[in-house]
Amino acid sequence: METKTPTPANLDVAAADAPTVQITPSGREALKIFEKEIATYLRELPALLAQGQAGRHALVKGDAILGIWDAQADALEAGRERFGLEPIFVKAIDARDTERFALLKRHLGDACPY
Amino acid sequence: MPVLKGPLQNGAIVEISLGWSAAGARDLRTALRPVPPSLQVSALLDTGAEITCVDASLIRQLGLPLSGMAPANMPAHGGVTFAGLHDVSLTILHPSRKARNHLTLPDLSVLELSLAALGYRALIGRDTLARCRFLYDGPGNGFRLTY
Repeated sequence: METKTPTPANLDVAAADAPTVQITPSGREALKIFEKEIATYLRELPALLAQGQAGRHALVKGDAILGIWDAQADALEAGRERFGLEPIFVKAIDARDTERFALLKRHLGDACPY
Repeated sequence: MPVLKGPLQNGAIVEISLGWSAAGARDLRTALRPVPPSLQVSALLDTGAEITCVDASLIRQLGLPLSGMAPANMPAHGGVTFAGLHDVSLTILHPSRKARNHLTLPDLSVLELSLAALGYRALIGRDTLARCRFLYDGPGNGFRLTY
């Protein structure tokens, strides 16, 4: 079986193929505020996907997923009803997130909070 | 079903009204705080945007709280973009100005981005367009949105 040894040349090709990651100022603020919630969502994501919850909307607070709704509007409504005007974390359950958040983690390096 | 038709002017442009979400406005009233008036801006119907996006200046003007963070594939914005989400009420205004012909989404999460460089204040993404039929008629120089 042929194995490829990474060389500076093919590492450059891999880096060039990697999608560009951008994080906006509001994204950086959200990353700080929702550090726990993002970690909780990523921890639970494989189980949520295995349960067939992809495409639904999760309300996450701290270490817990408080509920899952079909409609985003219902998750937002529940979050606002429970937490008022505080920041709330509502996330569409998406199989692509494992890879996307891994990209962000690589992009941020040691500064990544999750 | 309402039909919104328009000419193509650097894309399919609609007028929208943007304000606090229904749930957020209720919380403001409960807290005896004033609800900021909605803002009217032009928006591009953008099938390339996964999530509806709003310029950061509008978010600041309305003083909207965060309701999450999301990665989105935004080809117009350069790859995968991570940004804050805010819950809003968004209405696509029908040119007839009759309320029954508008498309109102009272609780919708939108991505906060700096769009000024693109020349738009908002992008209506596939999350909103999923409720519509959208015909982009290049040769006819027009578009049609049915909802």
